Amino acid sequence: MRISTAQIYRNGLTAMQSRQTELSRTQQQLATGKRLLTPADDPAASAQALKLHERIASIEQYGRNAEQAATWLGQEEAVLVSIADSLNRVRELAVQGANATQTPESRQAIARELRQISVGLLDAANSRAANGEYLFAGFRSTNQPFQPGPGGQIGYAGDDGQREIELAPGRKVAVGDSGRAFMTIPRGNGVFAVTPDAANAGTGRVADAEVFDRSALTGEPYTIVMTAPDAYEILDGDGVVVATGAYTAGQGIDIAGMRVVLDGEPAAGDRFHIEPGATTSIFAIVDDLAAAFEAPATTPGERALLTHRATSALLDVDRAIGRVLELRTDVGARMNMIDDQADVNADQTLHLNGTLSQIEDLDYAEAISRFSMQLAALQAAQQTYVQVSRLSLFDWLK
Amino acid sequence: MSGGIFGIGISALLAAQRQLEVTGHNIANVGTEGYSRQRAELAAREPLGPGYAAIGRGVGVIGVERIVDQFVNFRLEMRITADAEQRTLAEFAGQVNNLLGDAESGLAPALKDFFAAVHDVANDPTSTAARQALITQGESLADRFAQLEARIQDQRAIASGRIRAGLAEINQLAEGIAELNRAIVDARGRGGGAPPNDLLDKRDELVRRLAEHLPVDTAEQTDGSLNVYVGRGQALVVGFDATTLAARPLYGDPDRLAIGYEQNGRFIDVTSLLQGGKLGALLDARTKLLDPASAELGRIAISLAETFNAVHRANMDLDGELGGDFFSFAPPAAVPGQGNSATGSPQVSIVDVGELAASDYQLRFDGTAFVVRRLADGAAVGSIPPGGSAVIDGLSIDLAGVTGAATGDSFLLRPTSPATTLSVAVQDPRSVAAALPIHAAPGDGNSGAAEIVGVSVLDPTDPALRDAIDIEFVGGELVVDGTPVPLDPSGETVVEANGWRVVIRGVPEEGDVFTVRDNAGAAGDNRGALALAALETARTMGGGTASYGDAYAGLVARVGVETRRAEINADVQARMLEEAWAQRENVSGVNLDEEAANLVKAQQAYAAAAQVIATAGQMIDTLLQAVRR
Repeated sequence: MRISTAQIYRNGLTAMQSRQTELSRTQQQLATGKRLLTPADDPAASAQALKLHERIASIEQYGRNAEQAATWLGQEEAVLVSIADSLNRVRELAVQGANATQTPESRQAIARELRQISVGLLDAANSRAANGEYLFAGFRSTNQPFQPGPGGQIGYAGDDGQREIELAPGRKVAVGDSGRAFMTIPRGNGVFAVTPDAANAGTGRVADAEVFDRSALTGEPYTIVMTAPDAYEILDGDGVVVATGAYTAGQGIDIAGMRVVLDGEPAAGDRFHIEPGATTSIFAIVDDLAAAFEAPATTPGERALLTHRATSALLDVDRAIGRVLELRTDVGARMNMIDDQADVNADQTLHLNGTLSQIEDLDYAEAISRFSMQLAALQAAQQTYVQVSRLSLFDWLK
Repeated sequence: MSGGIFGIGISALLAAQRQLEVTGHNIANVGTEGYSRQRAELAAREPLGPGYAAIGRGVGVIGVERIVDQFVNFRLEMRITADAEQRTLAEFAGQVNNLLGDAESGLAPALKDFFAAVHDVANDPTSTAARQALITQGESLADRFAQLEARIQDQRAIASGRIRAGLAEINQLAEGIAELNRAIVDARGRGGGAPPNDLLDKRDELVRRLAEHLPVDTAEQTDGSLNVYVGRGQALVVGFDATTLAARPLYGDPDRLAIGYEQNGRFIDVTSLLQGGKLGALLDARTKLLDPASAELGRIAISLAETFNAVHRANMDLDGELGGDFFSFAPPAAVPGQGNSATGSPQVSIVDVGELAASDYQLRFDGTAFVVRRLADGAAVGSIPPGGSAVIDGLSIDLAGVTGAATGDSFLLRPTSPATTLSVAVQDPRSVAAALPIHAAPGDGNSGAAEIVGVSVLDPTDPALRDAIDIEFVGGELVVDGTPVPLDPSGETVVEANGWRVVIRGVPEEGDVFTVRDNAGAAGDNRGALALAALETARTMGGGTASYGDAYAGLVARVGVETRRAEINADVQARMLEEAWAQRENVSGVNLDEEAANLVKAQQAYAAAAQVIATAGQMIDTLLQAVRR
């Protein structure tokens, strides 16, 4: 085949140029550490890499979410611990104050401490997160949730919304709890509560109260009225007498599935109120107890009332502590869930990064040996170009 | 007698001289683009004398031949066309590929950052800073769409600029060929039919340069002129006349060009006939690479804006108001074609964002109806009678406002063009709607085990949406607003009323109530933000098959595949072009060593011829001396 002189030069040039292009590509790969320089290098792998980058970034985002949730729950837990501590102290004080050896002065002292605890509890329940939101206000987190109402009773101004934070696609954790948990502590035995009237003159007290027939429950309030020291009648919510009976200390009085056992010596006209589904708040429990200790306890009726209020407060405090413990357990479980998810996320990130690296990262050993090979090829192309182009018959014509 | 020898000697001398000249010309043109080597054609002169002792009369130069193989040249032209086409396509594909696939400047990181900001609002809905950050990230995302579209637009402008420049060059080349035709015909006349080799080379070279721009067909005429046809037999050069090609903007878009020529004052559009070559590639780059990429970006932008807005509108902001549109963008554009007789414009709106296709559409009146053509794949997707309306690919097209349509009238619909017009409509951080407008809760006195597991807003425009309403469980059924809803056996009962939906799980006790209340004031509610965040991975596009990220990854992959194919094609064509060049050089190229050898040969012939003349001289001298003696 004839080869023209121009062709000789062109061939040499083309060879050098294509070697240079290859070399520059390898150089770029080595400089960036990436096998894929543009999506066209491997469209399928690039699309996959794009997805992987996206997922890794998602997991990072979920990590940030989890941190936020953990911070919030950590704050919540700290507050719950302090509330539980306060309630435990209230329990001690209730036991202490109910003790017959207490003088009115020492009871006043206990009452003062209880009043302080009550203020502390209110502050704790109104705790704010680092960003200024109230922890126990539900969705209404910018309004102070616990505020004294017109009668001095603490009311709840929040709602029972519960914020959720996404830890992983479709996996959410609840942060924050509604403050209603502090407001709805069932009184008495959990179904109904029996309270002696404050004006009672006798020493009659509630020894026991239980549900013996759940199906007979009506949910209506009743009042046991002592018509004589040894006789009673039961009024319903409308003041209509629904039953009468003879009173024997320690013997149960049955009303609509509920059994109330009274003992002591009630006076005629004494009343015992039966309130089904009655609830109270942690603040009311403490305030009521303080009020009980502040009240005079000189007459037998007053003393009986004091004893009753102290014992029923004990029950209520136990329920309140139980409620707070439930919340803490729940918060702890959610924190565990966050930790678990963090582990899963860390594993996933590691795994995804590994896959990503396989897809888009450069095998340096291979690239470096390719680089040297291409370098040698370029040098060879240059040398042959020079040598071939030097050949000319004209050099030999004299 | 001696005259014969002299004559022979001189003829040899002249022939050698001519050979030396031709060799010298070859050597001189070793670097001339398109030069074909030439050869002096020699022939023995006819002998004189009687037949039994005919003596040759020396040598004559009968011509200078240009060594070409028309078939090889034709193949070379074809290869040049194919190579230029693939190279240009690969170049544009590479550009789009780089700008979309870049890890930093592509859409993916902007999308990610935007949804990260949504998550941050969900994590801390009362934070003004997080809300402000969301607005800012939304603006960045809108900017990113605009930047990407602007860079695609840059490529369009580059393509149309190069089409205009290319046409200028084509016209110049055509003009040049026409002029050379005249020169060649003249030269042949003057030279008595001898081919003007160097003019022919020049003309071949012009044809080759023309072949770079578009595929050419040539036909040599008997007078030596060359007719050049482009496209499907469009005459570009006939004899001494060249047609001037011109570009005209379509639909008022300076970068959307129709190519044609003027004939009798009418513009004949031949765009569709021009395929291949640099020009064909530049036209293709727009229709096959840039427009689809831009339409897909637009589709992602619209889907994002529409779906995000829909959720945002069903949410409630910090002031207790329902959210407005988060993003705003220009409505789909309908551009009338040039020379339309119709007045008015079609009303186009998006009715189902999930069904949108990444394409522009053309409406063309065929005399009875407007035929709707999807430009991305060229498919006719419907036809609308004048004054009628239709829903096509999620687009509502209403022609009620279009009157007086004549056959050939057209409109260009660009439903997915608003990538550049996307912006954030929300200015005040408090107006970012991160809460739900209603709150549902079980009543305080409920004794059953039923709980509320889901609340969502179906129709934020329902006037009763935020009315306080109780769902009561009476007689074994949930009753809302007097309408009974039986419990679902699956355990989860869906209750819908007043534009909301509440999902209740479990079985309530008789008399249990679930309250639905206005949620105004619930600053800490993040359910709306969570619903917005969920859009990141929701398959909202392509009829529920792809998330925004998926759609973008799909675009990147498609462009990647296109680019890869274009690069491979370009490589293949480059190699085939190389081969065609080698073949042409094989036939027509100058080899200096060969010329050196020819030089030596001619030089020696010249010396020998001179020797013949010297010998003849000596013969005469010898004779004269003999006579003198």
